[in-house]
Amino acid sequence: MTEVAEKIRAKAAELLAGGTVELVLGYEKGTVPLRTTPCFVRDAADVGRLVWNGSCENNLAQFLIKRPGRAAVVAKGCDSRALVALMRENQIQRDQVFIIGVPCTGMIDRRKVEKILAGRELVEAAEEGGRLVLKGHGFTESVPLAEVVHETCATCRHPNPVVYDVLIGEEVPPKDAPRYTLVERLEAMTVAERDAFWAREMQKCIRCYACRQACPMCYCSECFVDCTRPAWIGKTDDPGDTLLFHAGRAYHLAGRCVECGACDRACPMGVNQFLLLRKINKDVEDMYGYSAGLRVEDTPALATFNPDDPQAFLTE
Amino acid sequence: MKKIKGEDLTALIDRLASTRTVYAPVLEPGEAYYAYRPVTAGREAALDFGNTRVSVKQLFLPRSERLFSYRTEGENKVFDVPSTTERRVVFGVRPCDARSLTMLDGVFQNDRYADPYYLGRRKNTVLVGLGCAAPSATCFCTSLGGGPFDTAGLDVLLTPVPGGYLVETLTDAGKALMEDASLTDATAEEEAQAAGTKAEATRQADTLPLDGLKERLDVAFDHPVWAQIPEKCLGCGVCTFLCPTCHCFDVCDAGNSEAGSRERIWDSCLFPLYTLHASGHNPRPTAKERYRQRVMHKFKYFVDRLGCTACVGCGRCVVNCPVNLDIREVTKTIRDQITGG
Amino acid sequence: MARRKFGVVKNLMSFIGVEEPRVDFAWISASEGTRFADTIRKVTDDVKALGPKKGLLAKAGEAS
Repeated sequence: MTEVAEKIRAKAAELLAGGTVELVLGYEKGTVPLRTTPCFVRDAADVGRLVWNGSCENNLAQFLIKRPGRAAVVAKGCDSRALVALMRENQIQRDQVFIIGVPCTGMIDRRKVEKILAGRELVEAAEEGGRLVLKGHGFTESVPLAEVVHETCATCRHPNPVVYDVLIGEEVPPKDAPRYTLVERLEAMTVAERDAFWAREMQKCIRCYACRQACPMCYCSECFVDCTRPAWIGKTDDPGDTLLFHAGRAYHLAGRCVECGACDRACPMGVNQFLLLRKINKDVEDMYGYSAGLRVEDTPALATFNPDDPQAFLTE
Repeated sequence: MKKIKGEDLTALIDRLASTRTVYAPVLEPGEAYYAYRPVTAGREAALDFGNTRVSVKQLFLPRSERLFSYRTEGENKVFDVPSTTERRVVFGVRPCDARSLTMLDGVFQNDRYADPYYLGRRKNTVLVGLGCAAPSATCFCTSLGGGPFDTAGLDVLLTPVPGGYLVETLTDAGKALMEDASLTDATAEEEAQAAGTKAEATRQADTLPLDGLKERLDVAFDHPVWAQIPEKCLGCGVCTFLCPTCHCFDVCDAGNSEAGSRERIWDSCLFPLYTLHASGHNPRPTAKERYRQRVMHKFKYFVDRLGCTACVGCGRCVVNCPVNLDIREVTKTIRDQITGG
Repeated sequence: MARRKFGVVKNLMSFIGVEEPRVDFAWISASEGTRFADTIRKVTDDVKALGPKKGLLAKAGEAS
């Protein structure tokens, strides 16, 4: 990891000193254990701030939307797909971005670690030999990193950036773990069971919109929930309205979501709205053979059609 | 000082639950965080918790609350206003959260307006606090003028000791609540130990130097540092919603001429549309203006208008911000980069 | 493209607990009067058999 960090710093210094870009967007050490934070470097002398580790969870693509001037960005596989999707939608111009691609072995899910800690405070965390070492007052434990990476990383088919100007680090094999286990479980439930599942999830939601704000593809200047005339859905935390918000957001992401998991990681309450995105992505793939953000030339699935498209949903 | 054994506190909660609604910290099912929920038995209370994810303000200024609803009956409109007379007790309120309520009191009651919803709940709720023997690394309540054993806003304060808690009743409501409890006298040893724990914890929670911050903010509105500080802010509501002192709200109406309702919901000054005018103009168009407003409000405007900093050092914003934008770093940057007035 | 959207929406609605018969799409031309009436009759019967939506989305679409 430190080798990759050194190379990122060197590249960043070279780009800034040479005037290729005015800004390098990467990650720097966070202020609490198991965190990094987005880092905006403008001076070659500051590149020492840049790090690379299993806590580089934020999707930085969104900070480039409609940004004037040239910027470099550290991009994992999912981040690069977001960049491609945003380029396809004209939110980012390819020639304004220098992509420092970094193959990714998976980012840690803080919520999984929180559950392991069960209320104990984490004082220090370190990645050592494929394990995550957790230290606190009166305890030291370690777990395999594979058990604490985010669910989307554990099933990631695109860990290597799909587009880049420079690639730093060794390419990583994609995972072929089953991606839609929970989706299928829900599909097999009765309506009453599904209702109960969603009721339990949605009553946790406080409508903070962290999911929406963290998502690089949610960039509408007026989100449908903010519209008051007409008020499409209620703005209270009523679980029914809340479910419609998450379902509506998922629907607006059909053919656009790159499954980076930023939404799930941003949520302070552990609402499983990510499951709706998994469902949407599964359907778009099954029905239209499309995954977002793989090639800039691809037409997004819901922006085109095929005469042979399935129509099993028709009433007759 | 008096003491209550753990099992007697459990029994007290059991008895209270039959005459009032008792709230206590409870682990959210399937999650690793706590929330204040009604309990019917003392053993449901998880008093070994750190702090709840959402602060106790949720019980006085809920995320969504119905202000009134109306329906049509013949020629007349019939209004229905929810009542706030429910008698409640909240166990396990941390001193930071209790202190925040004293600040919210200043917002929701002044010479021009008294909010009946918030005040009704305040009047009918007794708060039993639980001191923090081991503050987190992200706690800085002492630095803001509070402390892990601060009594502001509480009716009773419990201090953990082996086998139970020391009990300080602070108000008449607190005394009345504990009348029914099996209290014994604490030993001199227990009192000394508690005093030591309190001194150490208070010291531990004093991690954020704030001297000179207000003076710098008084002259810092146009300083260029604001362009950089919040560049990574996503514009979500996590910090504001979890914050014990944040209180901005929106009012939304639903319905038609026949029936409808008016709701009050939490709002956030960091939402991009927070200051959007009907004309289409937005005086706080980017994260820079919005985040500056948040810092100014908490560390300057609230001080100017109500005499205290609108932050109690609970650390929730630090722990839960999706991009780890840390208010402690922000205050440090301001103190380092801005020269005072 | 509307066909693609319908495909996604119908599955999503079912996924969040809105029973399949409640979400219906049919392409019927203005000149297919009988077919239109038959389809409406069938959908109405299907939805009536399900009854009002209970549970989480029971209030969705209500005025207050």
